[in-house]
Amino acid sequence: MSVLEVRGCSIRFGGVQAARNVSLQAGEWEIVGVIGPNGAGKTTTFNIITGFYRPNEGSVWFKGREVTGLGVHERTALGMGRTFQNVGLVKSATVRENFLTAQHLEAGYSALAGMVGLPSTFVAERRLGERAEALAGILGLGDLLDSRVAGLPYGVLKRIELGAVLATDPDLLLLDEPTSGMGPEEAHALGATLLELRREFDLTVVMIEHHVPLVAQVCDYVYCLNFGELLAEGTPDQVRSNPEVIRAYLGQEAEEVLEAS
Amino acid sequence: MPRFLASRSALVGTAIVVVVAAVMVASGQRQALVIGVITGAGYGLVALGLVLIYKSSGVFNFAQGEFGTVAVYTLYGVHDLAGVPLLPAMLVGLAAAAAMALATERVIIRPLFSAPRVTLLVATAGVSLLAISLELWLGEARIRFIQPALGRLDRVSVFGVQVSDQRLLVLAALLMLAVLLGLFFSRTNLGLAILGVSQEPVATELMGISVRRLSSFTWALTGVLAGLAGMLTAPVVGSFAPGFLTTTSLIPAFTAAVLGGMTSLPGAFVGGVVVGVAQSLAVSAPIFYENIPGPGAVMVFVLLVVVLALRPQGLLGKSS
Amino acid sequence: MSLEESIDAPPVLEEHAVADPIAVQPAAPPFRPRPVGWMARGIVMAAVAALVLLLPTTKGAVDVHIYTQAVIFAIIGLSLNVLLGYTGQISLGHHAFVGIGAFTSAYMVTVHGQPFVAAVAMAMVVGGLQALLLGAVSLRITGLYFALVTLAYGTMAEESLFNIQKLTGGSAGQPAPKPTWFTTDLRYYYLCLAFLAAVIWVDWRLMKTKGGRALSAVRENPRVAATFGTDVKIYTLMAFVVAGVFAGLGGALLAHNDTFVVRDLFNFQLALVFVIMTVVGGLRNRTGVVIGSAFFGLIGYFFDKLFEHGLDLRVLKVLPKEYAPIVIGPMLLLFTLTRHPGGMGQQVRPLQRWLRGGRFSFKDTHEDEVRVSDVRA
Repeated sequence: MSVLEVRGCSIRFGGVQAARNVSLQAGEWEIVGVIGPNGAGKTTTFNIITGFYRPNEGSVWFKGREVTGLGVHERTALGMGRTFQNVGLVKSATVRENFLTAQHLEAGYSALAGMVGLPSTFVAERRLGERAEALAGILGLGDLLDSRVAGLPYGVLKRIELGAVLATDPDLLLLDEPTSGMGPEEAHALGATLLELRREFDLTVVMIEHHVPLVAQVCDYVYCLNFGELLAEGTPDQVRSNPEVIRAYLGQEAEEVLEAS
Repeated sequence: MPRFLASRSALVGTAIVVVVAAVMVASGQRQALVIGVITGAGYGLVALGLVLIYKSSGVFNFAQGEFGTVAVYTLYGVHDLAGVPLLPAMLVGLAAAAAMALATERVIIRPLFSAPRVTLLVATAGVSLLAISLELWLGEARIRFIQPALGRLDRVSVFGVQVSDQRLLVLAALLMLAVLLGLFFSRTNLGLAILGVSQEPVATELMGISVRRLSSFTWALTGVLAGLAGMLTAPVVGSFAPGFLTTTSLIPAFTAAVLGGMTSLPGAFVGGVVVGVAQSLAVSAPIFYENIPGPGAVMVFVLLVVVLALRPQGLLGKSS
Repeated sequence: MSLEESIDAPPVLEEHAVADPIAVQPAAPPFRPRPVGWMARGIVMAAVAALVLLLPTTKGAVDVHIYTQAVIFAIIGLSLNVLLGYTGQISLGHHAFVGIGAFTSAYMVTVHGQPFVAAVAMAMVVGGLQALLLGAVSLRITGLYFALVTLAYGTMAEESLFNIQKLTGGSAGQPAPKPTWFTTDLRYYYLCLAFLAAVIWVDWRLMKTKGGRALSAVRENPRVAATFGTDVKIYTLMAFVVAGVFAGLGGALLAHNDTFVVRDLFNFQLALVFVIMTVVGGLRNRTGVVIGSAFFGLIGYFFDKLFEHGLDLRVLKVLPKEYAPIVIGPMLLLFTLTRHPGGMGQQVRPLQRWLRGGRFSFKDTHEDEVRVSDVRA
């Protein structure tokens, strides 16, 4: 059964067709890669999947039901988690506060009850705090719980964002360029982390990536986009050796050079 | 929205205004229509200043009304109290308004230039409050009366409505100003530079124009516009009190600017007339004033919300 | 594996992690005061409580109802802080919320003969409803333009709503007698203090639970808030309702404090004073907002006292005390915005930290910037 299905989605902004008839699937516990040159429509597709954009045509299906009309927070409630290219966190808050905020749907009490200060809310808050600490522990962020997000180094921010997304208790993780700004060793380490997290949290992962070795290392299936359209799909090896894909990334001359050699 | 639809809405909007005007004339509301147009032109003048500041600094200038009120108080003090002849006194009034605008730019706008726009809005609101408080303190909390410069009330009639000389003067002055400003901003280098600096500050600097000087000039010009609006409309109203131009014209002027899409100078002026006519209609039509207290303010509020909700780019602005 | 089970599992990343090139220092062990330190803190807190509870009973002080006004201003400041500070929504029409609350309460008591409790409750409901309407508007119109709308709304209230003869008694005003057990000024002061305590409690719990966290996220980054599962629209509306309810409460208490409500009180200047006292107090800082608002509630009368004790500045004597807030206010506002964004709250922070059991130091651990709205615009 596929966890995520994008069926023929198209979207246009003004005169620009940002995505045309894009279809992709992610099966349970798969790690799916989405690659393509800059401006290929990868983040646009993510925005359609998560609900920031409503497609002009096509539909999005999550865990067997159509979610095309649902809002972002509703999809989070169903189990979609997503990271952003420029790190989606509440920067003026501490790490702990971010983890608590991300557990919004797990709180177990209504906002009104919280305001009034019913005793059950104190208990619930303590539980949320413990979960936040557990999460920080898993990601090696225990010492940083009470530090403000704003001052921290970029690599740490990525880890915190991952923690926050995990706090929403997702079934599907949509990662937008998780290794941007990382060197090859860090990227490799992230790959291993993803495999572990998939195992420990029963996750399906779809990730936008530029880092070819990482894609080869962890992805079960890869989609390549270009100019808003699906260019190729297949296993990492199939896609990597697809001449169309090579041309899209490197341009016409490179392909000719490769052919000649 | 596709381009042809956008211009169609503008046409529809204008058509509605023309129809409303015709209805008013036909139903005997000529007085209201004429007064509405003239008051509206006054709103348009204030709105011009608002749009100018917004285009050049991206700020909503809540102090605009007080630039004008300060001019009126200065005029009163210099002409009515100290006896200086009218024209020089008006120049002094304009100078006071320009000075206040320059001071605002130097002390408030520049230090906060990188702050969020809403912070600047609150800061200009603070400036207007400061001005009002000084007017209350130094000028006392009472109404003062100001005589129109031109006394005759019945020389001219437009559409069969008696229009006072003063009102005519105001209308003539406003129209002339509108034309002059239009020429200034489209033909002169300085005018084009002012409009261009918000889009391309670096390019403007490279052309040898100091962005700072331009900013100061723009604010001074806005002060002058507000000062003119105040000094021209106070005699028509017949009296003024602390906060005069702010309480009478600031919100209608902002509504006018919004109708012009916040970016169109002619749009702001036309918007002013629209607001003036709408308000006048609300105040003079029995179905309104018999059932709703303060119909003018209600009409302006409704107009503002409707335009912002349905067509945020205004009647004449471009679709974003 | 669930999150709870993973508490005992070894940290996943550490097995594969590569050291961050920039190491982050772990925090130093927490500071704990000695018993003497705790006693000192207790004494200070008791002194503050004594000041608040007993100051109005001393003779020769300002009239008690002025202290009550300061308390009510604190409630109003907190209500505006929910909108402006926590949610990042500008409201230049707060005088309308407060005024309508005041007239509603007076109307319920005088025209409908309802008891105080019912009247105040009605004022809170009406306050919440109008705020809800304005909140709905804010969903479609953002940032600067919404500020305009609130200003236009306030003007409309002034010229239209406050002129409804039956509701407001027109220019003559509407009487609003004090409630039965609390007919003296002093008793009414304690009643209002109790209301303030309730408002502070709700504000505190709000920010400590999911509602407040949602508001902070919505203020700073609505996309992230949505990704974290927050329904941005609902929580924005909730913020408006909470602010409106508190403002309505403040208005009702204000009406009965003066025992008479006149519409001239609720004007543009008052709206700005409300914004100023919240910003100068220190946005998002509960204590700061309370202090700032109380300051503005007391300020004119403060000057009166100074003059009586011999301060001889002829220039200042000309200024009627009602105008003091609007002269001082803008100057403090502009000073706060340009130089000292944390406001009064920032000054008090070292003391607050000390009282909570921390070390006393003048160094700030974070820099605040006045972001009247952190969002868009």
